[in-house]
This record gives sequence, structure tokens and C-alpha cells, in this order.
Amino acid sequence: MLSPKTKGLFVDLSEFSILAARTSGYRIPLVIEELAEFPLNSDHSAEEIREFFEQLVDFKGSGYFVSRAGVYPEGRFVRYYEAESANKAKDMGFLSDVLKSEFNVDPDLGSVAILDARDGSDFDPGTSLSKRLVFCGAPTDAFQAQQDHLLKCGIYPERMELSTVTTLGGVSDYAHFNEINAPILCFELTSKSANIFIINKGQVEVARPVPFGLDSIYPLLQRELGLKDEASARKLFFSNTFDFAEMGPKLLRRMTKELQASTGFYEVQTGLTIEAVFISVLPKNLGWVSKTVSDSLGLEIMQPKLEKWLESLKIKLAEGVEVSNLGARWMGLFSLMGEFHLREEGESE
Amino acid sequence: MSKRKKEVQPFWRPNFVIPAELPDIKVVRTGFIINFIAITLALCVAFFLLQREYRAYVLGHTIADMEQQIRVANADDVENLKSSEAFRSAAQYVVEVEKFYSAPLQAHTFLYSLAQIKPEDLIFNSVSLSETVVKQNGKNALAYNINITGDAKSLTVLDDFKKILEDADLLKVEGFDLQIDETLQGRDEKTGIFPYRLAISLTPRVKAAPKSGEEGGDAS
Amino acid sequence: MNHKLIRTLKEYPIAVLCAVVILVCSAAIFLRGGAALQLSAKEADLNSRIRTIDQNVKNAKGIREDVEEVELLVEQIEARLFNRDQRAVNINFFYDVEDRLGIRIANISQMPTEDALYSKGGVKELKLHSTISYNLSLNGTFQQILAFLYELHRVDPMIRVAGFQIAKGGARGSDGETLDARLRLVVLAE
Repeated sequence: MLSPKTKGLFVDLSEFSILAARTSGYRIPLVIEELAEFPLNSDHSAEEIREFFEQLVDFKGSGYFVSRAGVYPEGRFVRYYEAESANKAKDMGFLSDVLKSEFNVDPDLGSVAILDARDGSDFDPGTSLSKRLVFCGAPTDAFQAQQDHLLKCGIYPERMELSTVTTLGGVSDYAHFNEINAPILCFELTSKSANIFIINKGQVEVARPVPFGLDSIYPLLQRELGLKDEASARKLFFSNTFDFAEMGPKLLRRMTKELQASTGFYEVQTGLTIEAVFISVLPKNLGWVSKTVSDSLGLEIMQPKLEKWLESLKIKLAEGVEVSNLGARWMGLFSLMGEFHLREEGESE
Repeated sequence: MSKRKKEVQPFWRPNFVIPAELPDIKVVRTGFIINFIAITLALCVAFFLLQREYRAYVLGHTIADMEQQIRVANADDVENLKSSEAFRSAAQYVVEVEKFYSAPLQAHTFLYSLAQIKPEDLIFNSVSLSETVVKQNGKNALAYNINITGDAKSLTVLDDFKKILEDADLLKVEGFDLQIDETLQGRDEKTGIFPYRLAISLTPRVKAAPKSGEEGGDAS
Repeated sequence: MNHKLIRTLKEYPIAVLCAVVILVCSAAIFLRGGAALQLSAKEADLNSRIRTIDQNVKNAKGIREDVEEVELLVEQIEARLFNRDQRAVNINFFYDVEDRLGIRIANISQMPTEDALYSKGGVKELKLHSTISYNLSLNGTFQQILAFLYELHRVDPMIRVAGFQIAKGGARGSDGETLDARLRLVVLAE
């Protein structure tokens, strides 16, 4: 009855595609055995997605496969807050008010985690000395919807994480490992919203939401090309047929404005210069978005060298697994595997 | 606010899973165990039952055989028992005769032997033998008394004779204790001889603990 | 609650089936337990009966001959018994001995009651026979008396000398001193 050790399955579930990895297990050191992608261009049924997973891992006749997932629930937030003093930060009631008043989050309806902005550790009001905090989470209903969706697809989420903040953790750890001392701009762009972060030396210093996302582009596109309606604009947008390179800056002007505002303000305030931008989750065929952002901000697009970084986290690649041609959007998936707190780094906060 | 916490949360990676709404997947594995146990128990019970039934069946046959065997042998057995009974009741008579005769001493042999061992210098005036009932351990038993009166030439003669009696096979009876007492009267002035009286008693030896063999003693 | 139970049961069809099997078998075992016990007991009984029969067969080897022998013996014994009612015949028997041996029976009397020893409650209680006691007085020499005792022992009737008193008599006979003997006899009777 004792079967050989059960494999691990990591899943990054965004609106664009499902990224999955089968590993030797969940405890490091682990070996990534296979990577797979299931692009979500049109409506896919839960059965189809489940079939995709069944090809990757052996369900052994059971209804679910125990996995670890990263999701992008609607209404998610990752916010940075600096308290007046560390003592003030210890008062949970005070923090609850902050959530309500400053970030418009109702703590009763949301699942919230509070992290120490310096290293991403769980904030413990009893012992922590930090006054710089990161609030992250989403409405509980949104998380529930994601969880239910996962279950329908045969995924039993042993861990369900907020990909946004997990990816931040990955980038921060990557910076540590590669000794990148310049601040990094992290940009997450999805249909309904966007998030702008600035990480400096592994700490989150800026976390700003943008209330609109890719969806805001469709009306512009429709008008620009004289299309019938927004739906056809959207279809065109995601197809690989049109070259958006020329039109890119026009379509993204609002977005780039927001980015410039954040980076400008930060650079003035800190006197530091941001050198690279990390763009997560954006699918391949929207590569022109990355280019446009990089050009308009004059920042280098960060293409992480995954293999070495993964090795340092005691994550090995099996024969035939290639990560060198994987883009930054895979960062979310690999970050799910990383046990960053185990890295022996004594970097000062 | 609701916080999700697990022992040591990895950095930058809080867990937002909602455990209350997760299905119970242990059902998958426990299903196997439950089925396994259920099947095993069912097999055990069924096996036990079958074994019992089989044994009962075999037993039934064995019993039928035995009854047949007995039926066949019964006629002869009855005959044997009848003969046995006939023998037993006839044997009772013989046993009683033996009982009738059983005694440590027989008059004729006793007298004959006594006469043989009587020394020259000892005179018997009278010899008597009697049996009496004595109580031992709450039960009745037979003791035998022999009285000899006479005259002795000298005390040594009497003592010798006593010794002879004690050693004689005549008075050595299994299961009986021998005791010889003497009473003397003074020397007769005229004749110079001693009148004596010897009282010999044979008492049944007391057994240490009453055995059931007491009853069987008669059948011997 | 009910629905959940039914749902759980539907999930384990094999287990439910096995539970039913277990129940049915257990009931069967319970109900038939008595019968099995009975059979077992019967077998034990029959076994011991067979053993008894076999033992009897062994013990009864040659029993016919033995029975004949014993019954013959008993016949002989019974033939030699005194008959209580034939008082005169019995007394005469002793006088016959007297004649044969030439000894003088001074007196012979039959005791009215049976010897206590052999009666009910006595040490040597006899169940199938009775006894007749006689007091006999003899005169004769030692040899004569001894001969008489031997004769009593030799004859067919079963006579036992329960006690005696032999003392020097008064008269002096030609063969030596005469002795007076008082005998207490017990004779086995029907």
C-alpha cells in the first residue's frame, strides 16, 4: 500500500494561462521533473483543465491531486504602510483602522496577511520591531471563488497563495542572490487592474495599485482601428496576428504615465536610480507591452536567469527541463517553490 | 480581520487557503483501508462460519457412523453385560465364603503349631482362643485373644517361650500387632514351679488415614 | 443528516456489502452455536459409549467359561450349606464325626441367635448366607481334640472354630491326659 513518494504539483493560475510544474515532492531539495503550460485564450471547461493536469501528474484514480497554487483573485491588494512608530504598529485595532481608512479594505470581508516589509516574514505584533509593513490579501469571496475553481479542476490546494506577493518575494530573493543593489520596478498588469512595486535591496518600499488594466485599452483600440465593438478589439488584442509595436505607446499611455509618476517620485525622494523593470504574468504574445514600457521608462527589462537562482534555493532541474528560454512570467510559479527564509543571508534590513 | 497562519510561514508567501471549504480528500485513502478492513472482516467471519458448518457436517457423519457402530456392537455388549452380572452375583457367594473364613488364625493349625513350639519345661494347663470386637477410629474391628495358663519350671523358660512366640511365624499376621503380656504368681513352695498366665493379643493395625481400601478389604 | 449518511454509505458499496455479510454470518453463527454444541456433546457421549463397549469386550474375554466355572463352584458351595430347618440332621452330623473319630461329645447345643459378627451390623456381615452357632463340649486327648478340629476343617459343611477353651480335665485316660474342650463353632447356612 505504500506507494512511491507522491509527486509535487505547483500551479500558477492567472487569467492568461495556467503554468504548472511537476516536482519530486514539496520539501527541498526538490527536482523539477516537467513544466507545462495551458494557455487560457477562450473559455475552457474544468474537465479540459483537469485533463491537462492528469497528463502532467498521476492522480492515481482519486478525485484530486494535492498541489500548491498561486492565484490572482479579483480585488487583490498588496499595500505598503509605514507606521509612525513600531509601537503604534503593534496595535491590531490601529492597523485594522488603517486598512479601512487608507486602503479601503474591509477587514471583515477580506483575508489579509501582514508582512514585515523588510524581509517578508509574517508580522507578529508581539515580537516584531518593524514599523514598515506590507498588507496583502483579497476579499474572502474572491479567494473562495479561486479555491472552488481549483477544486473543480481536480486541484486540492494544500497552499493557496497570492501570486502577486509571492512573485515579489521571488524577485526580492533573486535580487539578493545576484547582489542587485539598485532598486527594481515590478509591474503586474492584468485585465482589470495593475500593481506597481518598487523593491530595493530586497525590501518593498513602494506598493501602489492602479485601478484599471488591459481592459481599458480595448475602447481605444476599437476607436483606433475602427472595429465593430470592444469584443472584436479584445480578440484582436490577444491574437498573434497584429503588430502592436507602433501603436503600443498610444494604447499604453495612461499606464506608462502612472509608472513614470511612481518611479519619478521615488527617485526624487530617495536619490536612487531605478535600472530595471520586472514584468510578471504577462503572456508571450503581449511582449510588445513589455517593450513599450521598457522604452518609455528607459529601463532594462529584467530577464531572470532562473537555473542558477533555482539551484541556490536547492531546486534542481531534471534532465530535459529547460528554463533558459522561459520569460519573467514564470517567476510566479518558481517563487511558489522557494523557501526564502532558509537562505543564509544576513542582509541588513 | 481574518488572518491565515501556518507554523512558520515562508517569507513573502502567506497561505490564503480556506480549509473549512476544502473537501475531505482523506476519504480517498481511508476508502481503501475501510474496504480492506471490511473485506477482511467479512472473509474472516464467513470463513469462521463455513468452518463451523463444515465441522458440524463432518461431526454429523461421524456421529451417524458411531451410532451404527454402537448398534452393531450393542447386542454383544448386552450379552457381555449379562454375563458379567451373572458372574458378579455368583462371585458374591464365593466372596462371602472367604469372608466367613477370614481370620488371622485357624484353630487347628494354631493348636498344632503351638504344640510344636511348646518347650519341654513349660506346662500348659489351658489354652483358649477368642475373638472380640474392638473400636478403632470409630469403626468396629476384630481382635484376637489367646490365653495360655500353665506352669513354668523357671522364669527363663517362660521368657524364652515368650521370645519364641514373638518370633514365631504362627503369630506373625499381616495387619495385626502382636502383644504378649504375662502375669506371674509367686513360686509354688511345694513344687518349685511358677504358675503363669500369658495373654497374647492380636489387634488390627491402625491405618494412618482411613482409605477407601477398607471396604475393598473384604473382596480380597 | 440522513442524506449525508446515505451518501457516505453509497460511497462505500463494498464496505456496506461486507457489513451485511458480517451481520448475516454473525447471526448464523449465533443461531447455530447451540446446534454445534449439541453435536459436540453427542459425539463425546457416543465416544465414551464406544470406549466403554470396547473395554467391555476386552474384559469379557472368556467370560462364558468363567461364568460357568463360578456357577459350578457356587453350586458346590451351596450344596454344602446347612439348612436351618433341619436341626436334627445338623446335630446328627456332629455325632457322625464323633463316631468316626471315637471322641466323646459331652454336649452340643445350637445357639438360638445368629453370631453377631456375621449378622446385620456385624464386622463381617453376611448378606447371602446365614450362620448357625453351636457350643460343643468335648472330652479327649490332645491328639483326639486336634483330630476333631482338623476334621471340622476337612468336612464338606463350612465350619469355623470361632473360639475354644481347652483345659486339663479331671479323668485320666489310657492314651494320656484327657482334656476338656469347649468349642464355639459357626457353620455357614442358607
